Amino acid sequence: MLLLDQYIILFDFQELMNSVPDLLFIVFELLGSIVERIQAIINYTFERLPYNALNRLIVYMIMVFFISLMLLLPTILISKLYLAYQKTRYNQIHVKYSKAIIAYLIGNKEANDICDQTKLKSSRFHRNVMIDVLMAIDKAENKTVSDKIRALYLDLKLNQESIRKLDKFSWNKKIFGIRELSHMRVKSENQKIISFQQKNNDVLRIESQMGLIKLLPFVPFAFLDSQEKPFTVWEQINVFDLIRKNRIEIPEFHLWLDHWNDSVVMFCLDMIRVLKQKQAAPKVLELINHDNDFVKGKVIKTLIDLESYEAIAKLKEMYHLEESPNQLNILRSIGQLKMESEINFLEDKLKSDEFKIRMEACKSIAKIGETGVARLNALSVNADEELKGIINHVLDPRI
Amino acid sequence: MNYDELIRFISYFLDKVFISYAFLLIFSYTALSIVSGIALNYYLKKNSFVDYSVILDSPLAPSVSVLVPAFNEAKTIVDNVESIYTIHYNNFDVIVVNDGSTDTTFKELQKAFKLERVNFAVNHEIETKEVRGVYKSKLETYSNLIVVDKENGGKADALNVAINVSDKDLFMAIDADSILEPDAVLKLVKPFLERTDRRVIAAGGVVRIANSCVIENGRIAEVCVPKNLLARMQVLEYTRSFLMGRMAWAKLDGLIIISGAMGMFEREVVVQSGGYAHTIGEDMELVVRIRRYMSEQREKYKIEYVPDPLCWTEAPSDVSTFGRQRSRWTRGTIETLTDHSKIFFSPRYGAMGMLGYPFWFLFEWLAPLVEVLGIIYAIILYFTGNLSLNFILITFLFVYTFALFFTTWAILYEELTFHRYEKKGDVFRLWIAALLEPFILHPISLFFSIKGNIQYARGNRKWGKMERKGFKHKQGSKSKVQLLAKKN
Repeated sequence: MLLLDQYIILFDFQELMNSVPDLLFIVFELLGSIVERIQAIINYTFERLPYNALNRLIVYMIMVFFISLMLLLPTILISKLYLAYQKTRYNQIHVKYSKAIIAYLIGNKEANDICDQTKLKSSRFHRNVMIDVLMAIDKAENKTVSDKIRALYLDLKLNQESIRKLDKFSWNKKIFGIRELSHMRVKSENQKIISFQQKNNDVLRIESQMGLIKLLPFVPFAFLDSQEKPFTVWEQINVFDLIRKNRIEIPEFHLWLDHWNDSVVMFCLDMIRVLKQKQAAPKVLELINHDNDFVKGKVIKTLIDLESYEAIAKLKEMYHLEESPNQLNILRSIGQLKMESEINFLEDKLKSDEFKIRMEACKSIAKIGETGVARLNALSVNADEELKGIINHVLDPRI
Repeated sequence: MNYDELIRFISYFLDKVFISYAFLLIFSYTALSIVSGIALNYYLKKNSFVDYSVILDSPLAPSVSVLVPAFNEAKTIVDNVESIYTIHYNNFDVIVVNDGSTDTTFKELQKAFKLERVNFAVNHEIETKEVRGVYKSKLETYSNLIVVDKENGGKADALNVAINVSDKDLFMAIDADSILEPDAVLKLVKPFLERTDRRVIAAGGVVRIANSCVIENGRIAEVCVPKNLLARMQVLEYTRSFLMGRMAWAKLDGLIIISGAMGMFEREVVVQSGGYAHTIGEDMELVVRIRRYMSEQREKYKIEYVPDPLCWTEAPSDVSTFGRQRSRWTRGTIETLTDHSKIFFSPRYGAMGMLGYPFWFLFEWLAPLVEVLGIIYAIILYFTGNLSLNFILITFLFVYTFALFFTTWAILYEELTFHRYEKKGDVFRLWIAALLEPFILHPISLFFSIKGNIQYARGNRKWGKMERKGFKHKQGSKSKVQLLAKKN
């Protein structure tokens, strides 16, 4: 349904065209009489008001507001009716084409039959509904069905419709084109789609990236090489979702860890962490002194999620040089690895003035297990009120 | 200069002031509506490609706390907390703060959600009144519910306690009577994910009026135009304000208010800028302050606005409650504007200083005052024979046609964008309300705005009592809590 607003319905205008001269005459006459009436009202008003620029301006503005109002009211009505009509029409055609495609899939119909029995050749609206139907049915994830749908899409020459959209001025139409071509695995326009990657329009950029991931299955992340714009978390979430839901070859993300764009580096760190690419740990460790604190934070998290015990010494060494958020990351990381040998380091951090640091250190001690819990219980005897509260918090299993 | 000349000079000067003011106001509103139309068009196109479900199970999605301050909400609090659990989001918790209610608010919560006291250590990053206890639910469904019982300190204080308790990246502050759309959190989180070189520090969404709507299991089951005329006129007012005003201000980067009924903020920025202030208009004040803080830190930032209807609230349906609300809003506006007068036309604060603040000062604070002065001036001129009745009538017609045109424009935007009023005759009913609004809602609103100014001048800083009638629930619909209680 989201496709609706972009297409113009092609009516059969023949009959309407014949009566255009008569209609125009009536409309002009009507407009003429309205203008006359308005003029009469204005004259009547001016006769009763002192003649000056302000009065004239006010009267003309009243007219402007009134005429605009008269235009707005039918616009509201027409838009309401038009949207309802479009919805019904779309649904009707959608159902009709769905049936036709199912008949084609079970072998009761040929592509030519579908072409002859529908208005695909003459109506863009029909072509677009057909593309929607094909894409919806193709979501079944059955390879044979998918291949047949693709063949039908090409036989009906709907790819031309999609390619045409790439050249449209409007960015949202370009996106429809990218989605359709990438869904149907039409690779002839890859270069054009690649060119959209550096566009300022973020939506177009995301769609071109997603499209390329589908269209270039052997080098799906090639777009990262030339990623100049910030690679937003929203883009990252979409890309990650695509990886999970499709059979896409996952690359070694450490290949981009030396990228000049920090947002790409952060994405790769997240991917290494989530996809548990343990072989990347040495490369990740190389970034531990990165200039960007956010990157550094991700490096710490990634190293610990990869269970890189060798990173602990380095993390402890850099602890005092870091800002509070990364100090918390380091403490959290040590807790995650449940290293009993680090209990003294963690205990030392309980002396901090910062509530958050004390809380995180306590949590990490508790995570170590029985030894940690015993240490916290012992510490709570002589602890100040704040620390006692924190220890009670950490040891409360209900929180 | 003799007496007559002086009077003539003053009269000439006042004529020019009132006329310039009126034309500037009309120009500003028209310009804002055009900007808003462009922004809405872009948003709708952009949004048509968005699949919000990708955020749901993404490990990259931020964590969110939903903060609910509650004071004497015994009748509705359980339903309202339950309605929060209809939202679609994974990484979130709900923090309800009982702000020293004198009724049974806390007992209702305790009973319904089987609360038990836990040893929660609260980080007092923001100074607040004393916390009596922190509670968690024994029910597994509500394992992420935290209820804080505290001494009464006002809405801002309750929100500050909730911020102290929260350990999430973002927080969403809502009113206890707000009904959220299921995808409200997803839609508000998205702008934070789209951050580029400018840090997104807050995001607001559209609040709609739920009077006469049918509520089922904490969700809006049926959108209806309010039967009460006062509430129906407020629907128009909200549509104009949210769909035309705030949308445009967000586009111009001059947005200085996010509704207290629902807004999302980056926790760290709010803590660093001192949390909610103990003012009457704490929602507006917070936005202005975090913006000031970011500008003074010379950090690039932005505040985003989502035009989708994300939250429904009950509008006052009687004049006295409406009046109290409007007086409070006026006092809140004045307080915020005077507290932050430093940013008035200061380029250091960007569009907020150069556009947002001056607009609010001129057309939100001063507009009612200028209008009343204008009416008094016109009456004086009429009785001294210096103004004809025809001119008064034509001026009134000018204002009326503009008001009607502007409201109709807002209805058109609503119809072209979200068209939530789908029933036959709904739009017609709204338009009839638009015809009457300048004669009913506007004078009442004007009266209470003036009252708010007077109250402020006299030093009244009280929040006032807000009486709620409650929502229309679909018959037979049982809440999840009721079902769980029955099961147990």
